[in-house]
Amino acid sequence: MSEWYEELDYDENPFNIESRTYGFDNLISEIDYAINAGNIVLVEGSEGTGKTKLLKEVIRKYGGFRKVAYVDCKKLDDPNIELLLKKRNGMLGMLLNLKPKNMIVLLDDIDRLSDKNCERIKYFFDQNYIRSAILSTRASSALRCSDGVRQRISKVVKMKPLSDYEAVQLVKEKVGDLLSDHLTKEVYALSNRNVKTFLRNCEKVSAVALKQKEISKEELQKIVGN
Amino acid sequence: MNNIWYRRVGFYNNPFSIKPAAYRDNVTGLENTVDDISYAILTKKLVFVEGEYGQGKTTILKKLINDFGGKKQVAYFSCNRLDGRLNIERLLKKRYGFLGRMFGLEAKDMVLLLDEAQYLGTEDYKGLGEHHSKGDFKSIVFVGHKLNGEANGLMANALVVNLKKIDEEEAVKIVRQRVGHLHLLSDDIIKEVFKRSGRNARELLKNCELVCKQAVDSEMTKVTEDILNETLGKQEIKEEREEAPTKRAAKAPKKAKKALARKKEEAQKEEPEAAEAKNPTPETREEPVTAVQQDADQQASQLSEEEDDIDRQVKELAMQDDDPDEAEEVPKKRKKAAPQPAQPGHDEEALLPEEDYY
Repeated sequence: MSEWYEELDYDENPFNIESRTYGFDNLISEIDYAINAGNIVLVEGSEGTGKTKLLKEVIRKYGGFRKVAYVDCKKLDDPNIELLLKKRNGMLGMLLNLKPKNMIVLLDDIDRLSDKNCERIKYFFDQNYIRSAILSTRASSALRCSDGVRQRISKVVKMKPLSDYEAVQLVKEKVGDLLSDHLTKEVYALSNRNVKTFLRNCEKVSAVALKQKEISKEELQKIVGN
Repeated sequence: MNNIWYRRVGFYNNPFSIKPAAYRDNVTGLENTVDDISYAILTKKLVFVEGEYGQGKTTILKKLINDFGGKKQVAYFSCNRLDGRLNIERLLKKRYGFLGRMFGLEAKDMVLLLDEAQYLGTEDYKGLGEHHSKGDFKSIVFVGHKLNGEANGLMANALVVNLKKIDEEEAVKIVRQRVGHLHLLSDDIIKEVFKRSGRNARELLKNCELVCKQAVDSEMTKVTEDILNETLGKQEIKEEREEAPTKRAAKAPKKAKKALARKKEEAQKEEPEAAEAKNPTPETREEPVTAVQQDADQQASQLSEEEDDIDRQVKELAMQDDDPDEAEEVPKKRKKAAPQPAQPGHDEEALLPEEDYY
């Protein structure tokens, strides 16, 4: 059975391919500065605005020899974040009790990090084991982390949701002119301006759009609703 | 990477780094305190240092490490890393490394610096006190944000220091120590930044960094008042957020009273929320402009109505209010919306949260 994207000469689903990031240039430069200056930045954005993607971008840029640590606080079982950071130095380092130095720590979803671990991060930062930290959260007003870390945050960076134009560009890059601009915008609106849902919906719509030229509003709602 | 502002001004590293003792300088404004503490350590007393966030508690400790360190005589421990109780034996034995641990050597006459001592429990204090009187520790310096009463037993014969806030002159000194006589910042500007930083040393450094960055990035040779307003205007709001609940409390009755007055005029027996739900937009639009008028309204209504009656209904209103989180955001958002009410594109977005409020 052939998938819809094979008709477009794609080997894999174009909506699963990592694409260029839109609207990130400004944020990246902000983060570049923070990493160079040794500051803590808080990235704020609601779900699906691309916080994790931004952090991944940082890894891509700065990743290298034991320099960047990415911690997803949601998945953190380890009750002591220090161990996690010390593991950087390998077994021997653990035995000799080496301290990390000048690390860049990316903490996704800082709200889920326990107070104790927040304090540990603060301690690491104060001791210069951590050079700079980038935290991400859903909403900075409801930020739940210890005061020690909160007061060291130099800058709050807001993720903006994709504009209509950028959404259209994003889809154009994936499937070319398959979906009309108007249609894309409508799908974007139906997806509550959430990029993740938007891409998923676009995938569904593209599969239908290959078979039939015109998609009416009702049909669109049906497709997206399913 | 060479277009970072501090590189352009001639620094290799960020001169305003907020890491404690980033530049190993003197603890400006706290020299006397450090001298006192040093003296107390030499006379084998316990020391307690208490101070607000960002006033230089950890910096003082770093300075002490610098002064006393060298012959494995100083141990620094940050208590916020503790999972349970402080293991004092381990602290003592660790000093002599692996071999020392094998032979069970224990340190004598050590200076122990405990950062974030507010995390210590009663038991820890007791144990530390015993070790101190035994002579294992020459002196122990407890440093914390708010030292709890559990340490009271030890405080009797100890030096207790309350860090006081630095003053303007010291703020200028701190900045000068970091950047020298940088043409970007004049003394007056530093003082102004200091004022806007809530007179806190760490905030001062953070804000100086923001201001300088903005100035260099926009190709200015001097930090001006305009740049201050541009970059720190937001900051001020951020600081005010802590006070927001009280402000809101003060504002809510005003609005409620206004609503009451209006309600009585219309002689409706509907719920106030319902009455406002009919015309939320016009009222919110008036909001910033008619603050004075609102006051007048309030006074008028105070005169005409009986106080108790109003208070009771105000309380009812407050109960019906939204959850505090949402409400707290409102003052912030209004301030943002206020300067640009004329832009039609922003209007809707700016007003939406306001509707939530009612």
